[in-house]
Amino acid sequence: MFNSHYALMKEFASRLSVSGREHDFSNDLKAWMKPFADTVSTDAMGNLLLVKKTAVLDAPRLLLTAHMDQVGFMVTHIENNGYIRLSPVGSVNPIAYSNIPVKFSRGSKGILVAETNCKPEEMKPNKLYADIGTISLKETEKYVQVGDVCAIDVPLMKLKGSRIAGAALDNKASCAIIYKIAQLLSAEEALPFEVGFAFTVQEEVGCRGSKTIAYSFAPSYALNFDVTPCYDTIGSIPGNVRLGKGAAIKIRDNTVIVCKTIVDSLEQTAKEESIPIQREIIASGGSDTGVLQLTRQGVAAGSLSLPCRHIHTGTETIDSKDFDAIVQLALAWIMKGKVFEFESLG
Amino acid sequence: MQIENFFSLCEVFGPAGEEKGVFQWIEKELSGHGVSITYDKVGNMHLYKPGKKPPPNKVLFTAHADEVSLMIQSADEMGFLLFGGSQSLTSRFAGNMMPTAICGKRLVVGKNHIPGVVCIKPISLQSEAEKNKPPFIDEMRLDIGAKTKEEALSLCPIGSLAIFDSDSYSFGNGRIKAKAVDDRIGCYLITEYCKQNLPFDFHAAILVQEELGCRGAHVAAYIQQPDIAVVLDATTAGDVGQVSGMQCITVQGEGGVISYIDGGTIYDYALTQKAFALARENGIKAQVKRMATGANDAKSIQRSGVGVRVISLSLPTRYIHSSACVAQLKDMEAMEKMIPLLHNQFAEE
Repeated sequence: MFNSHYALMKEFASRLSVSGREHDFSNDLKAWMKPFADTVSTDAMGNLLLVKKTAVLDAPRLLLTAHMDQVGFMVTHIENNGYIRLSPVGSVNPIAYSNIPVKFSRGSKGILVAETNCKPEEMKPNKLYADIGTISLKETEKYVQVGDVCAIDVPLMKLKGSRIAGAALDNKASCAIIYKIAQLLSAEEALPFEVGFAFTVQEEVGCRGSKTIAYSFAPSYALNFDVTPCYDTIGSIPGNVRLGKGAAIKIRDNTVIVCKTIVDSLEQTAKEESIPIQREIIASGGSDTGVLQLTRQGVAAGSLSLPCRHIHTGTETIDSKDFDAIVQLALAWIMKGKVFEFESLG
Repeated sequence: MQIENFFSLCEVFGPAGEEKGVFQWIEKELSGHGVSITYDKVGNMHLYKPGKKPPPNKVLFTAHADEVSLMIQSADEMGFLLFGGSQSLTSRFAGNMMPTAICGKRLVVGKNHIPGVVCIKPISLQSEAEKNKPPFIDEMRLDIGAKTKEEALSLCPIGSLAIFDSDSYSFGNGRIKAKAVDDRIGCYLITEYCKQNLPFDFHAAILVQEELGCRGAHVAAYIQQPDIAVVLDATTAGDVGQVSGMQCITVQGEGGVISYIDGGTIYDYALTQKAFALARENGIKAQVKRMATGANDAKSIQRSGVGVRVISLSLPTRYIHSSACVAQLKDMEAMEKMIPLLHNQFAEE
């Protein structure tokens, strides 16, 4: 139903899903993903889980996860003159959020502006407020209420070559990757794993949702899909990951050191299939991978990350070639099945 | 509310890690009321009172027993006790306390309630720089009147816990002042609710070590595995001089605080909206939290096991985490009225 990666990502990225308010996007995902899975469920936190069963007896469980939330703001106070006060949800960069168009959860459009006379060096998220054109508290409340959320309203656009820029590619691009994987696996009846596809909530506020869905599914193996920063921009600190250089195989971030067996098996698969890869080491920042690894008695968890420039802005930039590399690598790795041995675990 | 009874609960010695006094107070209050009481391995108290029927949903009410406190770490040769470790404005062992709220205050140490006074260098000996900044915790000492290191440590061994020595009273127009309002208000409201005849079975947990990072809640939530949790706590009221609008966080006199978001949790949207609707329909005041600050046990409970739908109901409290917490009686009464409504509604949600 989606003609291209771009169409898929554009559809996903147009849905508002600020942490804690993922419900609408989750409902759409459920409908789109349903043909590819045997069971569908949602847990108390709002995580969406679809499971594809296998004809293979006693197959181990593999969980593929991507968080479906995005950074944004929650309305926590409305002034008497109608202006909207906000609290940041997730790690928002005030430079990226000053003087931009936003959309609210009940559909209103508005602008996010900095307090007048706020000096650039004093800029903080709590210096921002929103204006939807209303002139009183009462009028604002018709369209926006305390507890509602908003996020950058910038449509996706194609850049030259295979590059795409826009808002919320973190992590709608990875949700699209899982969609592609599920679609391509859907015809297989004897997968080496029982595969769970989990779309998790509240990653941007501290990897909260993945904890409960991983507990319920109790996987033996897990692969997380998320974006990762590139170190090829002007002013960037040194680092390995480059845009367009292939699937990024996570080695470490602030939440995890990925077990060697997972890294080795992914790298070996990429080599055999001639899929471009690069090693990912994030200097600061985390992902759901660390939470997955520490589920129950421990899970062999890794991550295939999509290189992305300018994360948490309206100009997040990815390369479709990296997208393709990740889908291919994940598929090949899954089809090879249980390629790893955990000797130390007995 | 029987305010004198609430004051007696606030005055109980209950630092994080030594909450037994609070549990004894609750046990005494509830004897003969048909409440079964058990304790888990980290010391949380679990309460169960059968109602007329079991509810379709298991709803867990929680409050935390502990209060902000300090831990004795060593003594100097002159017999003064040290209670801070790092050059930080807040002590690692204090929960989140402002140094200015500790300096010059009376404390009591340990279960023998050894009294002492927090002291720093006299103002006449302070440099200009020292006068113009808040004192660090490790620049303060606790004077318990001991003459030697040995005497000090024999009265208050290393690891002893100290809390504010502070009385309670009513003042102004319906206000009260006490220590440990955070979160004896939650403990009190749960205790009072347990004394009633209830339509549904009632589960509650009185939690330990919230002030150190919501530690007891992890264990209690895992044991109870509720469908829904209602966290009763106290939160900052910043409606004081020089602060207005959003920065008040919450204001006194506007009822219990039902947050959409705080620093630790994004609360269940549907339940939060339902709680506000219940308040409106029943003419009870309730308010939102205007900034995403602070955190409570909801953050541990929400992410426990397969996940729990959480909401919180908090008392707007001025000068929280100090020896003189100030609250309004009518906010407490508004919370008290909300509890049966929330229990009955969520049980059948």
